[in-house]
Amino acid sequence: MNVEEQRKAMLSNFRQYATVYNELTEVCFTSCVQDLGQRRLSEEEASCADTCAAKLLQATSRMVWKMAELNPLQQGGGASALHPPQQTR
Amino acid sequence: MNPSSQFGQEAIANMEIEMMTDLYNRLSKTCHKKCIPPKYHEGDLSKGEAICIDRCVGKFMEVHDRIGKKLTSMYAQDQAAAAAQR
Repeated sequence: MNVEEQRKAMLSNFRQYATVYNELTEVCFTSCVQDLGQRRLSEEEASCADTCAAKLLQATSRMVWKMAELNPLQQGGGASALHPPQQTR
Repeated sequence: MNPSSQFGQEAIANMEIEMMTDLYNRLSKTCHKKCIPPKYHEGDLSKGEAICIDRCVGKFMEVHDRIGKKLTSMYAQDQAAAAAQR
């Protein structure tokens, strides 16, 4: 990969990462925060957000892995090189 | 200054702006839904609605920060694990 391609790949990775980050924020806020009576997050809401993020990240990586497994790359059977994501963090 | 690194920095800055905009759009959609019932009796925000918006934005950004810290620490863990394996 030449420098230009590397830079494009890096930007595209960053974009992907930032999109996941924003998506997580939206989904976990919507699910975990119901009461807008306070200005700051309660203990419960904060820990809900943490577990929500951890779980959804695991779900995402599992989906990516599964999709790769079921949809072999054009070169043929390239998915065998991928490993399932770790179960515990 | 080498032109390719200049391009790199500018592209990253543009990307950050784009992502900030995306975050804002999500926040806006979410807090609208939570704070502004679709019954438009009057054109001005009520005090309750205004306070709700303040709090909604505060909490949304707090969730954003928490998740950001979590992602950073998870990434650092992955880096450390990968380095240990080598």
